[in-house]
Amino acid sequence: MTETSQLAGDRARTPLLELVTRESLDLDYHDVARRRARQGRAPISGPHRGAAVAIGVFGLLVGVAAVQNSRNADVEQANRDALIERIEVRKDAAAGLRDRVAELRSQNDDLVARLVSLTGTVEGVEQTREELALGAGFVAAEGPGLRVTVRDQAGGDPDGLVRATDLRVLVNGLWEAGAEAVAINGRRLTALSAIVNADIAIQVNKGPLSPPYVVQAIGGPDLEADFVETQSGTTFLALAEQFGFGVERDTVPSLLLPAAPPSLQQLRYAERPSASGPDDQEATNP
Amino acid sequence: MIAVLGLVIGIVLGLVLQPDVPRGLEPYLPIAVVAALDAVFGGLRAYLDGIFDDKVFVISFASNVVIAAGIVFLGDQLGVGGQLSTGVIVVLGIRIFANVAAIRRHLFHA
Repeated sequence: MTETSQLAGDRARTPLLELVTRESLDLDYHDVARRRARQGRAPISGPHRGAAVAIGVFGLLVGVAAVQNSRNADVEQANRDALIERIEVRKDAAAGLRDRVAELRSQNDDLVARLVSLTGTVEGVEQTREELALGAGFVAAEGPGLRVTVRDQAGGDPDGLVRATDLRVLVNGLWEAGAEAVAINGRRLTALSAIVNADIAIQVNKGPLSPPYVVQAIGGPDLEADFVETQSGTTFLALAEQFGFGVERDTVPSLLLPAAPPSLQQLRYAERPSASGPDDQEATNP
Repeated sequence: MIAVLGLVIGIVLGLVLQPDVPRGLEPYLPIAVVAALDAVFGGLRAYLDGIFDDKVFVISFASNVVIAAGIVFLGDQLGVGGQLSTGVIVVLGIRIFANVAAIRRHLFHA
């Protein structure tokens, strides 16, 4: 009994690893052997059938473990192969997609460059259109210019009435002097406008005018000086002198000329020639 | 002699029958084998010491296998199965080495 308790005390104080090493043989063997010796029985001998069965079970375990292991190895190898194959496939796909990304990116760059150049073209065309519309009377125009007011002769002499031809000479002089937009009594002159006599009144844009005739022209600060020097200008001033028209010329810092009436903005017959010209590209390009 | 015969028969049975281990028990098979190996070497040493006992051997064999598998199973349930099986294998490995050393001393008297 004391031996056992001392043993237990030893066990408690022994470090774990040392204990494991020392008791690597199960103490039961010693216990049983000691008991047998005390009871005076002979040590065991003869065929150890139980041990043989246990060893057989051990062999079975080893065999099964080996078989299972090799089977698992096969399965794992197959899994690994399948995974590697999938990785390869995905890698190829990724490479393809990367190529596509690069291709699309360069395409995108090209398209952006084209967009930029087209935007520039559009802006240019738009500006041209704006300028043309201003000059052609399709939109209202504003700017510095010259206002010429023409009155009939004060005496009421029929020869002293301002005629359409007089206004035509005046307007021609203004155009010659570099006017960019011209209106008579608020009627904008376009390529379709005519200044004609109807009975005793003067008609512009198919509407009669009443004196005084106010001719407004938008142009540079030198418009008046240039006008006086043009041939039509001098002709008009001579006519005015001759027939006694009242003429006032004012250089005005800001004039506002309205657009021509819609009836003059519609071209019913004129159209762009279909033969390809240098300008045609812009028309056909969307 | 009869033990060696049992071992051979067991291995041959395992290799020939190739029984399917249930999926749930599969992780515990290697641990069980190591535990059984420990019991076998312990038995061999006891045999050489002359104190071998059938009953003790069978009981130590069975309890070794069951306890080792049980510890690993418990570890799996707790989420530390890997660490616990490492611990079990270290302890069993130390015992196996010590037993094999004792056997060697017996066989070669060295």
